[in-house]
Amino acid sequence: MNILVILRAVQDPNGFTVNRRAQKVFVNREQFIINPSDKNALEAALSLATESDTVVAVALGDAPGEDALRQARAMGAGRALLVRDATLQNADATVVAAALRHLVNHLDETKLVLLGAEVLDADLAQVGPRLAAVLDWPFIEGAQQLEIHGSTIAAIAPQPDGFHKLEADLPAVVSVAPDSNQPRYAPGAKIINVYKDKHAVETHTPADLQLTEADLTPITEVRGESFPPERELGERLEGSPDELARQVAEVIRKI
Amino acid sequence: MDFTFSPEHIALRRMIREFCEEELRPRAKEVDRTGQQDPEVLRKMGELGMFGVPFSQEYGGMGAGETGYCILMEELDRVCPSTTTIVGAHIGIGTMSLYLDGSPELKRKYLPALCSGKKIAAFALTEANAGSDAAGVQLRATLEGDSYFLDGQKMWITNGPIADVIMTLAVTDPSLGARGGATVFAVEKEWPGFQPGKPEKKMGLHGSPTSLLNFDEVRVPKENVVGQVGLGFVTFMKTLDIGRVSLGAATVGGAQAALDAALRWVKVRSQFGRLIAHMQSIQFMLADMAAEIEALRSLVYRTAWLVDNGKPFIKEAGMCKLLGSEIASRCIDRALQIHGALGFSRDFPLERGWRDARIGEIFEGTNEIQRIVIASELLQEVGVRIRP
Amino acid sequence: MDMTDISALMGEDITAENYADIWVALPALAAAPLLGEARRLADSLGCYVHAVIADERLSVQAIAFGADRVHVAVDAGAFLAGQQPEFVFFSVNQNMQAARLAQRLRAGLITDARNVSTSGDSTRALLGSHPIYGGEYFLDFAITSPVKVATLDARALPEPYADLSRSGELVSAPDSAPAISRRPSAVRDLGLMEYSPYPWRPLTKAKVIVSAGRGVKDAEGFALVKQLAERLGAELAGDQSARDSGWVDEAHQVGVTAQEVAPDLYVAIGIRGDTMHNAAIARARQVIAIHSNPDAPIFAVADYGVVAAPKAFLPKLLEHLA
Repeated sequence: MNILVILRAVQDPNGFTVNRRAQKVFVNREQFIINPSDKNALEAALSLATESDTVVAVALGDAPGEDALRQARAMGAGRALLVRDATLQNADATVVAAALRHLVNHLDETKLVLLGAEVLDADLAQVGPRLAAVLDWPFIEGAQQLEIHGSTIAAIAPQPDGFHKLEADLPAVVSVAPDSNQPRYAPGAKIINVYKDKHAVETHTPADLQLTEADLTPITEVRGESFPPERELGERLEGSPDELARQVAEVIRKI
Repeated sequence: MDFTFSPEHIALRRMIREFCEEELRPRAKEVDRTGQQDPEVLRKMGELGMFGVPFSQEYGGMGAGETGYCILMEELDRVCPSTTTIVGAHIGIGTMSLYLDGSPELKRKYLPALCSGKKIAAFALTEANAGSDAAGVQLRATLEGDSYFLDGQKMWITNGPIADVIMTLAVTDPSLGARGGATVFAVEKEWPGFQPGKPEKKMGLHGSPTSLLNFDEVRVPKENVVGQVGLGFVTFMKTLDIGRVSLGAATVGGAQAALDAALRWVKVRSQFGRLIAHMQSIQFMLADMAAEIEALRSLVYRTAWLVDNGKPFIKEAGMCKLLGSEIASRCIDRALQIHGALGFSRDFPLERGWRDARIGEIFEGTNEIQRIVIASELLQEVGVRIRP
Repeated sequence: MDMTDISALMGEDITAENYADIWVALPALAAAPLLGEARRLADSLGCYVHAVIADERLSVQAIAFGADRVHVAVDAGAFLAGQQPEFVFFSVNQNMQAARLAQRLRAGLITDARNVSTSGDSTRALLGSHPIYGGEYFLDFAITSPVKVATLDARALPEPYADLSRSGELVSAPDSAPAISRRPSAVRDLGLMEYSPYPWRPLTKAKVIVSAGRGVKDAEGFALVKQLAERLGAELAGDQSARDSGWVDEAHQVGVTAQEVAPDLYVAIGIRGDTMHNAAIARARQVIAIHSNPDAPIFAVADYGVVAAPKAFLPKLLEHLA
């Protein structure tokens, strides 16, 4: 079967600093990394795949997405697909879900879609459940460990009272918790070969996948950036020991 | 002129950097303290191809060329010079001499295991009486029937205690001396008569084991001659020439690490009511460090480009090693000064870097020898042949 | 795949006129602050607030906290799909339900929305800020679809005002809710499990760190620190002196080893705060420092400082956290 892994390329947090006073983001070095929990999803896919399965890495957008896909091939993904369109780089969740739905239909034998449960730079934790809703597939959120038995997938995932074992019939969509595994390093020879290979990443346009204008019309837009207040350091809490303890407990609870 | 690294080299550097930060940096202090490497980490490095970076994929190498190898050395030295030295001796001079001049059969016999790190190589040239005067080598190789018998001793051999295959220079025809009558042999550590000494106690590079090697009538089959009988000195000099480039790359990493540490410190340390970053004396030190590192980096990667493109590089390689070792020592020393007493503390990584860097001006051809190499190339260009 | 089912799943055309009011999913009273937000917005928009509760017994408080009408339904998402809401609020831990409903109603969704408001113009867009990079800064989103969904973090909202004199209507539970889908897409829950998450890079990935220093005094004091860490589900760490005393290992030492940490909360207990330590915690979101010496440098880099002896203070703190 095909195991699809959705990769998002995000700006490397080590490449910029946020200045709260100036209310600005200063980009020191523009570079992109694979969204960390997507890397965990890729690792989960590579561990789950048997000899007869193909891990297909998928990304939407442009050059950063293409680089993410090359990294995935070097790590061991059998195929990589880029839906190339600049507007898809920062698309809203409904557009992403629509594009992914068309991709899933395009790729026969897809029985599992994995993606990270959090995206560093956008409000995209909703993509997984949206995709599952539109495909009418079961959705498991925040999986820590995954196992496939025949045509069933089992996952350990957090619930309000602790970790539960959840199970669903394939095909299914599963979001993978950040830091739930240690993504493997890509062997050097694979990196050299994949990056030299023009055909390592297959490219499609939205038209190739029959995406309509309605599919590509966002219903959420980013109207700006805002910043947390400057940290006020050096505040001393006052009061009796008991009062101090109460105040500290309150601060802690708010985190 | 395109000064950008190729996409594959950028991607390779990223993988190596992640690996070094995750796996090597947390262990570096302990490696220095105990002298022991974590075999699991070395095994992982081997699996990722780090023990065969410049060698062709045909022989099990990574196929990343001299540039890829320089990237590896730079990234390793940023984090753990001891590991850099093990890898450098293994790839840069040990396996390299086999790669440059070995027959296809001999290469097929050893390269796959060497490239995957399953076997470690060493380069055995130096002897008690043959340091800078490499031609003073006296280890004897006597031919009897199908085998040579090696007898003598090598000293200060990096990877000596751990190497599986030791490329050894021995005199096969004393009448011609080392220059015309020496041969390189691939010696396996299990062969009777071969015995490494105990690891030397050194000022730095504690995690890089070094020892003397005893050869007591070690029987080496004829097939294990690397290159041509009698031309071993040429093979070894060629190997040392190319080895210098990656050494230079390592010093880029070490110097940059020192500058990075200094930059982190000056933005948090205050004295006299302000950050020391605002003091000109500190700013001048940082500027000098950065300028030297930038020049060194350009020199090193340009020389790697010369190697990868089949152009002459001996003079530039000597410059890489000469300037690199001196610049790295200077930068690390300045960074230590900027940190004040903290730089002197063993709980802080700078003093380890300072101790590790000192050997740079000595091994793999002292800086005095490098100057002779560079002068020799220069003068040849104007028609003067000098004798070392 | 049968494409006609997709449009059935996607619902009929959604036009603005049919959809009205603010609907809040209230699975428990802890989500009451969402009602407060809904009430605030409803008052400015001039519309009603509906609460969807699973347990009828919450209806009195729901009305007190601002609901005009209270509906009882076990599956709030399925119920809301048939209700034509204009605005829907869920709690942040109901991300799945919110997204599923949003997809069904062709609605935009802002998760973990802060500073929620409406645009005040004819588009009636829902505005909210979403934290990115772990809260380093926020993207300001606007939802322009006819139906607008948001998830809100109750802990980041002010306590709502309970007015027991408010009146509201408890609407009787409908017998059946329209199904979100025709096909069974069930996830089966096989029960609670003993499980500890993957223990990798303990300090650099920790969200909460409790860190001990010399001021903790002795093993007894350190045991109290450990208790606090356990109570908060925090990673236990220490400075140089904690390492020297053998309380923590190298992987859990902060400062000197050049390991930076960036937790949401760093609690420094009995740590004087030298330059290296303070530089290592510079990227923590919030720092609470507890130290007996008011001149300790740690206070200059703490958001909240408590001048107190840790061994005496910690038991009190633990009491208040019970």
